[in-house]
Amino acid sequence: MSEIKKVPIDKIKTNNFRVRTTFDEEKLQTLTESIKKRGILYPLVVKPLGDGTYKLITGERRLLAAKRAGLTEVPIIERKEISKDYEIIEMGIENLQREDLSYYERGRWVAKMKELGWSISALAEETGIPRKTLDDWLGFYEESERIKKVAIIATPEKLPLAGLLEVKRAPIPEEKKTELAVEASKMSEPPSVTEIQRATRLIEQEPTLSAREALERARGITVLVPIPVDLMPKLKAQADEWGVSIQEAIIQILRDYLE
Amino acid sequence: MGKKVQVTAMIEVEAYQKLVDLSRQKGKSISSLVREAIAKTYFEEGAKT
Repeated sequence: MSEIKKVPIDKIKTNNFRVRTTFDEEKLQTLTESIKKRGILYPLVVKPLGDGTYKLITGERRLLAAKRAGLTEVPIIERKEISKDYEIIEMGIENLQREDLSYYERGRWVAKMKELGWSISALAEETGIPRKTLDDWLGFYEESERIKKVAIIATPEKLPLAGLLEVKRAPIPEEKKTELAVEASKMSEPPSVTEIQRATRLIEQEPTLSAREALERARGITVLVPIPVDLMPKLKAQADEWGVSIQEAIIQILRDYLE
Repeated sequence: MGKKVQVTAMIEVEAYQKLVDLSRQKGKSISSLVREAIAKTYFEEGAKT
C-alpha cells in the first residue's frame, strides 16, 4: 500500500496530456475555499521523476486550487512503476467519474488511448466502460468542428449521452444543433430524449424557431394526433391566413375548439 | 391506387386530455373531433372575411 507523504507544491509538474481542457471557475473557487478551511482531503497521485520532482497523474483541480489557497505543501501518493499508458488510464478514470467532464474531453481521452495503441475493445475491458459509449465519445471528438462545439458544451450532468446523440443525428442545420445543445444544457431539468426529438422535429417544421422555444414547446407538447388528410388544404389556408405554421395553427384551433 | 398517408401534429397534453374527455362524452373518435375543430374554425374564420 502506498503511503501518503507531503511534498513542496512547486515540485509537482503537470502532465503534458490533460483529460480536462477547461475548469469550471465556480467549482474551482468552491474547492479553493474548502482547501483553505480543511486542506486537501484526497492526496494527489504522482510519479516520482527521480530528481526530486514529480509528474502529476491525478488531481489537477486539487493542485490548482491548493496553489490558489496558498498551500506550500500537498499530500501525495507515489506511483513509481506506472507506465505511460496507465498514467493516462488513471487520469481518465478519475475524471470520467465526474459528470461535468464534457463529451469532447471524454472523446479526446479515448483518442489519446488509441494513439497509445489501445483498441476500443481493450480499453472497454480495462476500464469497464461499454464499447458503444467509448465509440460515441470518440465520435464527438473526431467529427466536424461544429459537432465538436456541441460536444464541448455538453456534459452528462447537463445533457444525457442519448440526448446528445439525438441532437447530433437530427436533420437540422449544424448551427441549430449547437444552439439546441447549448439551450438544452442550460435547462434546470435536463430534457429527455423524447423532448429533444420533439424539439428537433419542431425546428424541422419551423426552421426560424429558436432552440429555446422549441425545447420549451417540446416540454409542453407531447401527444401526436392524426390530422385528416383531406382537411390539410383548409388547415394550410388557415395557417397562411394567421401567418403561422401548420403546427401552430392546429394547436390554436384545438385550443379554441376546446374552450 | 390510393396510398394511405398519415399526417400527425403535436398538441399540448392538456388539450389532448380534453380531447379524450370530449371523445368519451360524444362517443366520437379523436380524429373526428380534430376534423370537426378544423372544419369549424375554417368555416367560421372564412365567414368573417
